Amino acid sequence: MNALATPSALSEASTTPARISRTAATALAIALVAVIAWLDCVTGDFSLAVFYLAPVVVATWYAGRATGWFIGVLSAAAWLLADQTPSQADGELLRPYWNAAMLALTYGIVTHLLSALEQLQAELRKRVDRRTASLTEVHHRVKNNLQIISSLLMLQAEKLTNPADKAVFDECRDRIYSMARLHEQLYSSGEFSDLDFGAHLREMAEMLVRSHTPPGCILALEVRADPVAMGLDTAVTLGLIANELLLNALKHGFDCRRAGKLTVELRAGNPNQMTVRDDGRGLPPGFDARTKAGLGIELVLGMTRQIHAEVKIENDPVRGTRTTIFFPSLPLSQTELKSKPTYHD
Amino acid sequence: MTNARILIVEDEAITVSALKRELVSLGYKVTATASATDEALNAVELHKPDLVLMDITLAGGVNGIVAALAIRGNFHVPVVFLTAHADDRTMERAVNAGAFGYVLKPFSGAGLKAAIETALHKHQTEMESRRVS
Repeated sequence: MNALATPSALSEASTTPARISRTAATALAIALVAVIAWLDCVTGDFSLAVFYLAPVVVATWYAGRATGWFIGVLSAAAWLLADQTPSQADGELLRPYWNAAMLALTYGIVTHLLSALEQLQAELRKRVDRRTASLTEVHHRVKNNLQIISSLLMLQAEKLTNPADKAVFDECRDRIYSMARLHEQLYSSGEFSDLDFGAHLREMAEMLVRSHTPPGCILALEVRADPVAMGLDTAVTLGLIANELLLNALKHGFDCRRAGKLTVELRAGNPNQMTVRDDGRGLPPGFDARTKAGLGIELVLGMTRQIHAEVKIENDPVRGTRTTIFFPSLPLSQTELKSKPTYHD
Repeated sequence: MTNARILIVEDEAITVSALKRELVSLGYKVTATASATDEALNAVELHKPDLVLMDITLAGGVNGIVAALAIRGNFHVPVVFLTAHADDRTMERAVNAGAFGYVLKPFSGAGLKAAIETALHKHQTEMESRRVS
């Protein structure tokens, strides 16, 4: 049986490397002081005082403020011994000691500034970790709540006897599923900001074709999706639009047909384009999305407006229906918002 | 493998109800449900299910993984995890606990069936190879 790490074991594991690096850093700093002092002695009157900052920085950053101070004083003493013998010979006894004390003080100030910076960095890291943990928890709760809503819809649908009524609940569950998958993708990426909509579109199309292909119809799905990055808000809305278009094609495009083809395309550009095309029976004569469409198309029009995109619904030149959504490639600021959406049909 | 007997371990009552109905509609039999690890262990001992569908996060912690370790070690019953998120760390622990698969929340009927069938087949193959050796 595989054993799971206990909290105490984890704590011990996390502290051991820190202790080793602290000792190693101190040893390295002392060695550096010795090497610089030797060079300082060899070079005679040429002062190498600035080079002692290296061991001071190493000691402070990796072993803490006290060790930094110790190495600073040690460096000043080394500098005094290595560089100041001639001055003593001149009879100016106090000046080298005074200079060494000033040097030790300078190293001390560097130590203090560095340790303050290190503490600030550690605090920032802690805050980022806490925020990431909170965000993870929020995503977790969102998905659990989506599961509960989906379950409630399923339980409610059980009481219905009319298959058409049940289908409405199933569609709602599909929409929830689509949103949940986006949360999953965002969470898995670890970025919590942008996600690849192409991957989501592919997964959603495959899922919907698996569950909504009309009985007796052999349906081929072709997905050509460029990677297109976007924020969660846009992705959720665009995902719901794709969900409606795919469901619409699956529900109405292949009635009484034994075979068909559904094509989904996502092309990166400016604007980006998302196209859902079926080779079914096409739009009914006199179709007007603004006046004679069902809830699905009404939702598509509303959501398209919401993300400042344009929609084009038309009969495919070869066969069937083709719907294209043109959406901006960069997030729009409030000043760039269009007052009215453009609509083609 | 339809008619397989499944134990559901999940602490969210609404999700349990939906799972029960979905599993029954897929042709499985739900032998029992449990909402905590100790309850799950007792239910496995009592009902001897073919498979356990287990929520990873029970009562605020990842106790499902601990329960799965015990179930796999003591009863040799395959466990499929039900989880809201498939992050690398949790999945690594799930794999170490001997998980036979996982289903992401919110679940779909097709996803549930695929995960259960794969787990049952894998378990059967494992048991047969164990018998041969």
